[in-house]
Amino acid sequence: MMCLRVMLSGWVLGMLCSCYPQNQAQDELHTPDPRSFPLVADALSPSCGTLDCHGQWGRNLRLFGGRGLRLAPGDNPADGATTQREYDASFRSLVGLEPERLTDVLLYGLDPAELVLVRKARGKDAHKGGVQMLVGDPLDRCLTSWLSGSVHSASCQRVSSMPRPQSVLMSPPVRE
Amino acid sequence: MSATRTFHRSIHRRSASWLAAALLIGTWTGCLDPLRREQIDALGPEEASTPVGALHRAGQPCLLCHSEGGTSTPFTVAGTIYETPSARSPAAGVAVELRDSARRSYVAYSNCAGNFFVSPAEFQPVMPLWVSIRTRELAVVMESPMNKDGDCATCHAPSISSQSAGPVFLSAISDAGSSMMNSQCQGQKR
Repeated sequence: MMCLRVMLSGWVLGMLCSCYPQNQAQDELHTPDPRSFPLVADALSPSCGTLDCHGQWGRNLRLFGGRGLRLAPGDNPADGATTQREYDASFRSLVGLEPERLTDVLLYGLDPAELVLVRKARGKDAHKGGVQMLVGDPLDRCLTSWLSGSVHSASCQRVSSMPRPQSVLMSPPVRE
Repeated sequence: MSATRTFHRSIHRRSASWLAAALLIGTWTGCLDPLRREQIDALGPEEASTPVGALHRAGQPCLLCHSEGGTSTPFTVAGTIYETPSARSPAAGVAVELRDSARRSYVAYSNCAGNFFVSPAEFQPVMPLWVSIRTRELAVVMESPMNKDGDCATCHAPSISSQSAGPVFLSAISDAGSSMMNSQCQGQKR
């Protein structure tokens, strides 16, 4: 009887562990759709991919682009559009941040908000660049929808086509 | 008994001295961020012809020294503007319009070395920061915002490359602008 109870407890424990996504044995890593990534990359570019932030070689998350870090040594940030090779390089960098957890998001329904990428951009984790998106805003919807496997194109396009803030008439300060 | 107490007191005093010395050394070395020190050293020495002040080190990343934890008066935004991309002729009197994400604005002006700088008391922007430069004839709007800090030369190094947009310049059309860095400029503060 005692032995049966132990076995039953073990079975229940085993079932619980196997149901928890992060403990799921992963034979293969999955990534979001690379074909729709350019939409996301273009949305991330103005806020995250500038040369003073993730447009730098030394960063874990490296974003390449026509107005940021260029992949080809002969290119520069002042001329030319983002190339396919640059989109691919940014994609590899992004999906390589937390590959196991990203697989959990795609296959087992883990909330993308658990990813360091999203936590940092939302300002939930320490981030030198501060809060770059709020829950539900277009950049947030664009990124989290793509991470979950179905990109919300309209949100991405809304961000990438967003105009710069309107300039206001400024009165020059008086300086000695 | 008294000798033992004196001995203990002497030990305590010596330990306190050592502790104070260790703290002093710790504090001193703690001030020098080795990475930042390395970057500053890489900039090289001051130019003999330009005194330390508002006109020095044009085109270099100002906030390496001029920021919190740095060695000089902190700035929130600073950089250098040139007439043309060759970065030979500084552009003086250019209005640098700054607009932060809190929708506050500030205008700074470049001096005769092309340098401009903003102190925390003048304007403490909330990043991202959008920048444009203007003269009476020209207006140049920066396409992407500054996200990390207000150091222009982080991205605008003296020459263009895959990691740098090159110097900040007013016009790509002509390189005929005369250099403002003359003897009159040397004595000016701003």
